[in-house]
Amino acid sequence: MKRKFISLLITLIMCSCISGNVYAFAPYKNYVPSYQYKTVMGPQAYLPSNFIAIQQSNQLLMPNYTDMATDSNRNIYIIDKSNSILLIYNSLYNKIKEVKEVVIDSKVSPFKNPEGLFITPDDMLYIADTGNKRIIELTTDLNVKRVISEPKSELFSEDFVYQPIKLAVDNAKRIYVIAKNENRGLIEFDIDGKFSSFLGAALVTPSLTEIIFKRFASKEMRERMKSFVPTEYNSITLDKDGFLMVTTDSLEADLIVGAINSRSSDPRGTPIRKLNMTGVDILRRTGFRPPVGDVSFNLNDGPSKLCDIVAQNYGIYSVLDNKRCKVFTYDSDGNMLYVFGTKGDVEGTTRNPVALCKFEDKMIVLDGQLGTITEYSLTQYGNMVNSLIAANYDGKYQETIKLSRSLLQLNSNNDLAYDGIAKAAYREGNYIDAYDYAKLANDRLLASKSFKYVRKNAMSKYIGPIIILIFILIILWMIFSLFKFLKNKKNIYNAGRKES
Amino acid sequence: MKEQTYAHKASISSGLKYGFIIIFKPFAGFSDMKNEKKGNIISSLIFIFLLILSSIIMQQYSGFIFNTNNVKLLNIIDEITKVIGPIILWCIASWCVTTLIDGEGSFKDIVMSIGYAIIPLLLTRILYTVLTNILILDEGAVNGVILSIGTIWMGLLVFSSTLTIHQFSFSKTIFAIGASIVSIGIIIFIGLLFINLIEQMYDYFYSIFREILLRL
Repeated sequence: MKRKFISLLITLIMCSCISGNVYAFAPYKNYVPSYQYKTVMGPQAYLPSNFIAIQQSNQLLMPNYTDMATDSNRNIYIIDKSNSILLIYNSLYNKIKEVKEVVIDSKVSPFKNPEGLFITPDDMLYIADTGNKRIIELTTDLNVKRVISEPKSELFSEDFVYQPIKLAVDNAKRIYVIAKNENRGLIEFDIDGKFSSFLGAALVTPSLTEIIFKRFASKEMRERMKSFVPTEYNSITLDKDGFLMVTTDSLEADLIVGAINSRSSDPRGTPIRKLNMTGVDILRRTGFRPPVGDVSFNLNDGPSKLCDIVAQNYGIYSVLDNKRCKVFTYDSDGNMLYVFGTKGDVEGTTRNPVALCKFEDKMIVLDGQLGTITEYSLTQYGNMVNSLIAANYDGKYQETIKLSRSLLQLNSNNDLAYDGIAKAAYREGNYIDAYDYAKLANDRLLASKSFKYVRKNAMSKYIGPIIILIFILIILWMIFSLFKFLKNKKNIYNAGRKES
Repeated sequence: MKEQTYAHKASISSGLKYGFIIIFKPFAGFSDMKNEKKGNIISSLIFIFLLILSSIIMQQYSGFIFNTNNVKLLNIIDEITKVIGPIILWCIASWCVTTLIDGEGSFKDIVMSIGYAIIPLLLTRILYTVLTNILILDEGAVNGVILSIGTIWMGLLVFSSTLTIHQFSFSKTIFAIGASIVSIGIIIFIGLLFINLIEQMYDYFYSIFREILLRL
C-alpha cells in the first residue's frame, strides 16, 4: 500500500513537471557566426511556447498547407493546397472559419489548389488561386473586390501555363507575383491588375571556363546546355520601407559554400535578395558571413533551403530553412542575430516547415505536412538584441551603450554588443574607445575609421615636440661640425707650421 | 699566392653585411660569393632563421585592421615548415636540375644563394608589419605593393643567383628554374605517394599483428 502511494506521488510530481506551456529549455541551440570560428553559442532568443494542431471538419485528402498570413486583428489565415481550403484562426488559435469558395459576380466559385496568401497592412486579402490561374482580392470579411486573371502579353509564350504561387502587394497596390516555371523574375501587375513588366530576374554570370567551353562546344552540345537559367524565387514579402524581399532555394550549393567561405557580399551566392523598384538587389551583406542560413554544415547535406521570409521593424528580417527547420534572423546589415528551431518530433520542432509569420512578439511556424502551428516566444535575451538593433537604428547612442553592456553580461560572445559600443563611442568622438571595441567586435571597417582619428589626434599632439626635437638635433649637429671644422683647421695649421 | 689573399676567414658579421651588398648588386655579388668566397653559409642560415622570425612577427603583430589571422592560435612548427619547406624543396630540386644540365654550383652554393636571396622578403615583411600598424584601410594598397615588391625582388635575386653560380646563359637559367618548379611538384607527389603507401603498409602489418594476437 505504501509503495503504491509513493509511486502515485512520484507520477503526480512528474505529471506536474510535464504540464504547462512555457519551457525553460528548448530542443535546439542558439548560435551566431563569429569572425574566427564559424559559429559561437549564445543564449536562447526564442523558446517554444505553444503548439496547435490544425483540424479541418471534413478533410478529404492529406493536407498540404503552403502559406500562412496574419491580419491586423491578429487572425491567422492558413491555406491548404490539396483540399483547396482557407482556414481562419483567431489569435487564441481557435478556428473561426473554413472557406472553400468565394462569391464572384454572384456566382459561387471554389478555390482550386491555391498556394499563396498575402495580407496588406490595410487588411486586404490576396489569394494566389494557383489552379484557377487567378489572384483573388478580398476584404477580411471575404467579400471579393476583384479578380486578377492571367497576364496578357507577347512576352509569354503560348505553351506557358500561368501558375501564381506566391505574391506581395505594395503600398501603391502594385501586385508582384511569383509564378511557377517563370525564371524572368517577378511578374508585376499595375494598380488596375494589368501586366506591366518582369522585375528582378536573378543575375546569371557564367564562369570563365563555361564561356570558353561554350565557345568550343558543338551546336548539339550548346542546345543541351540550355538549362543554364536564372534561379526562380520561392517566397516574397514587403519590408517596412516598401522594398521587396525574396528568397530562392534553387541556387547551386557550390555558389553558397563559396560565398560563405570567401565572406563575399556578392548577391549571386546568397539566396536572400532585397529588390528596389527597378529590380536591383540592395541587400546589405556586411556581416562576418553572408546571410545564407546555416554557415556551418555537413557538405553532403548541403546549404539551407530557405522557403519563407518575414520582414520586421528596423530592417530586421527572418528566414525559414525548410531543410534543417531553423529560423534565422538578421539585422539590416546582414549580421545574424539569433537562430531557433530544429528538425524533430518533439514540441518546438518541425518536420516540414513552410511558412513563417511574425505574431506580435512571437513567431509562428507552419508545418505543411503535419498540419501544426508552433509558436515561439521572445526571451529576455532576444528582446534585448532586438532593442539594441532598434536603438542603433534610431541613433540613440547612450541607450545603445547601456543595452550593449547588459547584453554582454548575458553573452560575452556577442560581437554586435561590442560593435554597438564601438559605434556609439565613434559617434561621440571617443575614438580610442571606438577602436578598442571595434577590435573586440572584429569590425575592421569601424576600427579603420576610428584609427584614422586616433592617428590624427596623436599626430597633432606630438608633432610640435618632434619638430622642436629635430631642430635641436640639427643645431647641435651644426655646432658639433663647426667645432670639428675649427679643430681640423687648427691641426692643419699646426701641421703646416711643423713642416715649415 | 692568390689562394692566400682570399683565404681569410669570413666572419659571421661580414657575411651578414655581405647580404646587403648582394641584394643591391646581385650579379657581381653572387659571382664574388662563389669565386672569391665572400659571405658564408652560417650567415645565410641566419637570414633563413630571421625570415621565420619575421613571418611569425608578421602573422602576430601586423596591425589589427589588416590582420585577419587568429592571433590566439599560433603553431610555431607550422610557421617554420611554411618557410623551411619551400626552401628545402627549392634547394633539392634546383640542385638536381642544375647538376643534370652541367651547372657549376655546388649544393652549398645553392643554399647560400637562397639564404641571401630571401633578404628582401624578410625586410619587406618587417616593413609591412610596421606599416600595417600605422596605415588605415583606405591606404591599404601600399601594404600589398610592399609585399609584392619583396616577392618580385626575391624572384630576381633567385634568377640572378642561378645564372651566376651555375654560369648559365639567360635561356638556360629560365629553363633551369622552370624545371626546378616542375621537379618540386614531382617531389611533393612522390612524397605524398610514399606516405600513403607507408600508411597502408603499416595498417596491413598492424592488422596481421592484431589478428595473431587474437588467435594466440
